[in-house]
Amino acid sequence: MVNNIHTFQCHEDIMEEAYGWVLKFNADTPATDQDIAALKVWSARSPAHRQALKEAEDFWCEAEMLSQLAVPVAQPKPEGLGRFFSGLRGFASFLGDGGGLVMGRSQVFAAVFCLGLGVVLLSSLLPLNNSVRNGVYSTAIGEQKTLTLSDASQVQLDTHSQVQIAYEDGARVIHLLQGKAHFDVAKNPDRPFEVYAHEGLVRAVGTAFSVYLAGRDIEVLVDEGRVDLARVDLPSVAPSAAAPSSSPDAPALIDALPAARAPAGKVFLSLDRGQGAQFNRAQQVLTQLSEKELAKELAWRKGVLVFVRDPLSKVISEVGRYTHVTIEIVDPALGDMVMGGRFQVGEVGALFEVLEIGFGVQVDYLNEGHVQLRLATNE
Amino acid sequence: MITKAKADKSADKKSTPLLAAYEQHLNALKRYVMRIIHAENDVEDVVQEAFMRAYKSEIEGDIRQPKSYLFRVAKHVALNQIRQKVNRPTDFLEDCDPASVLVESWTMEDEVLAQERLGIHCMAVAALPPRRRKVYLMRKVYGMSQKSIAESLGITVSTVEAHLAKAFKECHLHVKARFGDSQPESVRQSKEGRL
Repeated sequence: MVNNIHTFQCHEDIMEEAYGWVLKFNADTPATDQDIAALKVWSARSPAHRQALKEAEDFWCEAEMLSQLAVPVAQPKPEGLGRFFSGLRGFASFLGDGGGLVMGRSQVFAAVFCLGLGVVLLSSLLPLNNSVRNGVYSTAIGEQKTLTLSDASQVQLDTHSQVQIAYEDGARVIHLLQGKAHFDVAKNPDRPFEVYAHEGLVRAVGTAFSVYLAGRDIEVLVDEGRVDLARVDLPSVAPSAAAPSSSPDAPALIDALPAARAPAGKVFLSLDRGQGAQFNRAQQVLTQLSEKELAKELAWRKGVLVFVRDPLSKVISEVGRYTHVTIEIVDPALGDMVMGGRFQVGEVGALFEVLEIGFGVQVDYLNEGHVQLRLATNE
Repeated sequence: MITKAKADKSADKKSTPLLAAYEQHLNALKRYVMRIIHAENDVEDVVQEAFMRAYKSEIEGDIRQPKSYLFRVAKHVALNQIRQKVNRPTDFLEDCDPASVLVESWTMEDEVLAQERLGIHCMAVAALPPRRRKVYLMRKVYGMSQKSIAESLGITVSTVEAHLAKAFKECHLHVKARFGDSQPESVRQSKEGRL
């Protein structure tokens, strides 16, 4: 079927053909010499063809990990597996028709997928039906919320966070008053999207990024497009310069805000996808994140906290943001203990369990709101 | 470190905690591996390699829970094994770089990320229409041949192929949309080192 005239192919067409090759080479009968010859001709058409083939086979290979989900009904799951990871939890049977699969030897199999994430994901990612108007919006400790704005941009609030939406005709202005938020910005070059946080300003046109206000430090992370960072002079932003739009939600707060837009702050740094910056009035640190790190840093958006070789002190301070419980590390050495794992937001109990079982940490519950961690003594 | 103290505590001179766990749970371990790789012949190899790797770690002194560690290593070895069984068309092309090296060691980090990717794959599967999902799961989860899938569902092999092609595409796009083009190194494995 290969002829010598090749019309221009778009990427999707090439990809479709690449899927076909991978399937052909993994069908019931092995590939023939003719197949191999045809593959060679196909792949010689362009580097894009070879790239697509590689991508397709990498995916097919990776998808083999699904085989670990094979669960014979009769046999119990070995205990202790994946104890460290609460990521896969709960049950959802996907095998259609409500029943198991009757296999060749009349063994009944049921593929049971554990997707504790699913519920969290759905609730946190489903945008609200109605877009929100200007005003102040906040989340309680442990709560996450997604706001859809009038221009279809989305703001996802992490735990214990607060934003003020102050859209104007010429600009989309948001003040991050507390905590952390992720912004998925609808593209509109005529109407820049500006996030003010303390003395920092993050400006975008159409992009996605998160901003975390930690005291006076501002942490910005870009997962799509590009943003500009600027500093704004708080005292010079007179509350009267431009009256904030009236907000019935929290009128008391408004007066305390740097509510007006700064006169175009001077851009001192631009961040592209995968870049992060931590800055305050005096200094800034730029970091370049790998895909892995970026996914890890943004895992909170899926209601999950991921730690990889992080010291316990960091784990505790992150997890602590989602709970009212005070967690105290009694032995200083314990704070430096390196650990990893993934936890659902707000699942402090799971963390304690992992620490006790896996890391030799003694967890003492002083009362409902106070927990102490120390190195376990022998027995 | 904490771990060492724990490991030494229950160790007597002859048997290590890992060996004890291995002997006690050998059958469960074999069943577990069997489920992943679908091939009876290879179970022994996988279980033994898993033990050797775990044993090496134990000597280096960083095992906390011998039993669960053993199962995790076995899962890792088994998944490596079935990935190597996938025929990669690029192996037939001279000019293609072989996919990157076989990952020998694996870390907590890899495991965390693998769990995350598994979750994404599950969601991709969940988004498929029921029939297609069934075909895809029979192929990828249970390693069934196209012919036996066709027989057990009462459809033709070419219908199975069509379902697989569509499921392949939809799942790939889904996973790609979540993770971009990047793949963690641990899943990029070639047939190098197979011999």
